[in-house]
Amino acid sequence: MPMIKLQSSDGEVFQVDFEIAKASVTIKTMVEDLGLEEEDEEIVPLPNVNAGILKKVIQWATYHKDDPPATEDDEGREKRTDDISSWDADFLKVDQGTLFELILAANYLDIKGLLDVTCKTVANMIKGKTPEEIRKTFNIKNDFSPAEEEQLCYNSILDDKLKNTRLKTGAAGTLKATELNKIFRQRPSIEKTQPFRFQTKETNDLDSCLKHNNGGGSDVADYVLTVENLGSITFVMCSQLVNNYGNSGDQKQ
Amino acid sequence: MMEVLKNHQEPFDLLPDEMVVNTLSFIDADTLLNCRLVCKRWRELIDAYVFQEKASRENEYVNNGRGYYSFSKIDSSNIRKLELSWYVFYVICKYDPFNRNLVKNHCGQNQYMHWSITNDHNWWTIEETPEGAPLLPDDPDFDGYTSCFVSTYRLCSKRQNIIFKNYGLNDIVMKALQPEISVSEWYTGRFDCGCKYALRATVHDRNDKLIEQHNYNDILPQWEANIWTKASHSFKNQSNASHLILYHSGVDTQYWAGHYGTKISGSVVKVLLPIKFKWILTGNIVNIHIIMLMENGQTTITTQSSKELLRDIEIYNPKPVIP
Repeated sequence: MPMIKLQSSDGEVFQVDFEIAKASVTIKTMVEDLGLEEEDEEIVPLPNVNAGILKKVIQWATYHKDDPPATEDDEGREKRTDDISSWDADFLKVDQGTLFELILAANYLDIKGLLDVTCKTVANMIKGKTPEEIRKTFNIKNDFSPAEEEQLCYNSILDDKLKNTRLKTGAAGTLKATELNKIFRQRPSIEKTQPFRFQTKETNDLDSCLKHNNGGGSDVADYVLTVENLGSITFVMCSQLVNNYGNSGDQKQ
Repeated sequence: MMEVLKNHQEPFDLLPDEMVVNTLSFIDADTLLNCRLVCKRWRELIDAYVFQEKASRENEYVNNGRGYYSFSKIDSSNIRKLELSWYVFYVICKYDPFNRNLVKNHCGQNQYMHWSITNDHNWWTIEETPEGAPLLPDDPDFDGYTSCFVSTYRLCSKRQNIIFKNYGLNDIVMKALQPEISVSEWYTGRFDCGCKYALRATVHDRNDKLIEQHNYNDILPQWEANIWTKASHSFKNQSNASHLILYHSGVDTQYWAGHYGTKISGSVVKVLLPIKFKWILTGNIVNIHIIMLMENGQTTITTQSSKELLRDIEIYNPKPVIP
């Protein structure tokens, strides 16, 4: 079986079955371009990959050597992030430094399967997290200026407040006037003496929100808060309930 | 184990931009909104590349490989070249609202669900296949359904309210894109009975104020009513549209007992994604041939100088105003 010698950046030489090394498009092209033969003692230098990482890459390529080559058909399947095989998941239970170096190595060696699975692993570590949790996970420095930061804070205050109350659409709750004034910083200040009673709506279905209120009862809100969350931007519309919508509500035609 | 940080305090600093984009494009659209708040580098990369990259790769497999409806008129490889803000890409990844029929139960396949009957009594009926009339034409408007709504000797009417924001098409998107909204519907009568048909589509803004309306009426005489006809209309430059109410009515002209009146099916309301590609400024003014694929499958070709075109793009495609 033809073997090939790969040399890591720190000088260690690995002898690898060419069939396995071929997983790397970079090595495959290099070998073909150089016309290396089986008997050659030529060593392929890989100056961007250290021994520890190269060993991992070879381990991965050895396990996956019999995988069918990616075809047009499973192009789509590959893109999902929930399809990491248990072997790969175990294989990638490494520290972050190693994981990121594997991404770099996979990119440099042009091994699509390894690149995808490592990127997906990192993506899975990010999914569903808040910005602060993401920064913490990857030790990322928050480099937004205080002015930008304030804008961001303003959004997260609102979000946190609403998280507790956004149980169902139309759920009613109370916010303290001070909190509310924080939210509506640019708006005329709201009556401070009373707690602010509100209804949240995730969509713009203000009509039904108002209709709901026409019935009276204990959970009638004084204001309707419509919220549109666009990530960094949260649009908030606060409207005082006015009884101009009539009772049937079904008059549009 | 993942929490152990060895040599690299900020592992993402290791990765070149291209790899960061690649990694982030595997993340779901909603978490990506959070990712925009992590740091400046991420925000810049996400705004400029990640959503495009994500939409482009997902287009290979969403909808069982048919791709996003929104991109049905363009090739996968051209998605990255579209002149659209990150936010529009986000909306597409999340809701896929463009170039698809927003009317629910458009052929009566689910009885009267999603329709509001606007008479005091429901005089309509639904036929699994049209009786006394040809089968529905072979047209994608029907999505393979064979049924239709049928009116009677009393005026039958109903309507459906299509709220664009439910599909992610909120004020920001509408203002930025000023899209065209197309409305269409098929109708016919029985071979032996005449009928009347009316369609009214009204576009409203978020305060429910009427922006634009289209009325269409037809009278099909007895013995001549037996062919499926498509009524259609386009509302252009709809930057303030918040919802559209599709209203239609039908009645037979002979006052015959039973359901001899107008048959209606295949109601379609689509918001079209304006297709504009990014232009590379070279300073040279060249003539550019614009080939537009119309909704009906025809193509039109116009020629414009690059200078005019760029001016038009600025006018018609202003950057979305984000506070």
